[in-house]
Amino acid sequence: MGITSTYDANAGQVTIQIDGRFDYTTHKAFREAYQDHEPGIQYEIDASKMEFMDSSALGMLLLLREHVGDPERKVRIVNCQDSVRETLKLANFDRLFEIT
Amino acid sequence: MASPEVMTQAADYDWRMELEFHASSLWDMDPVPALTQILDQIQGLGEHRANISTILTELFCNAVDHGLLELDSALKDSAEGFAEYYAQRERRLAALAQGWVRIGLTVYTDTDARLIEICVADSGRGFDTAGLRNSRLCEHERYAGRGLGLVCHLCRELRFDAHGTRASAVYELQRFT
Repeated sequence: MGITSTYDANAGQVTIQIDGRFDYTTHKAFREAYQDHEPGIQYEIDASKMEFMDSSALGMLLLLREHVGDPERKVRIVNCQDSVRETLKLANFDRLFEIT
Repeated sequence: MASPEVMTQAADYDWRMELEFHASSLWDMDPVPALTQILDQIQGLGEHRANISTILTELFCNAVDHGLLELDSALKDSAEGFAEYYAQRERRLAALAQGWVRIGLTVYTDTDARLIEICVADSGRGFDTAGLRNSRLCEHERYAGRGLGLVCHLCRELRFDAHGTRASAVYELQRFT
């Protein structure tokens, strides 16, 4: 359980791995995972260990998108399990994020 | 304090359980993971596990955040507001002297499917459901916040009654063909 963030300076990418439940209890940890990194780089969420997400998590993703600032530079959400992918799709997030 | 029953609308059911959480227990407890696990062990949720967890989380959080703590969702629209929302939540929850949330889970079998009813009631003031036709709840923009929107999509039915203090969601566990 938990959120870890790694920054790859060569690739200019922050990868945020979310383990377990991505819900309202994780809002602080999630914000801390990106807020000290500059907006203009690539952000990627590794969802391979994410069990499920709630509507607060959707809100948190929108805040990350706001942090990035540039709608052309989409935040990537990768390795989604089916249920997480379904939640993202139900919320029409497939238009705002690159989901794989 | 008058208490709306979380008793099921299903006339006959396979099994059911009901839990009640009082203010003093809510500040450091999130019962959803444990409940999902119990359901999984009794019923075998399989592919439905994550959906059930989402529905439980949304309805439980709505009951606590809006029913008991009267928090304003509009705060969540900005980054600062989002943090403020959860700071307020923590403060109000710690100061909450009374109130309760009840969760009723009922698994029953209908002619065409095996269903679970997830019912969450709170001791709050409720909200005005006048003019709101429950059958059209999901199309009703004002009430279809992001969370309820999710629940609507996942469930066969979602309705509010008892002056908005009780939400009942019906989810299809298995469809008979």
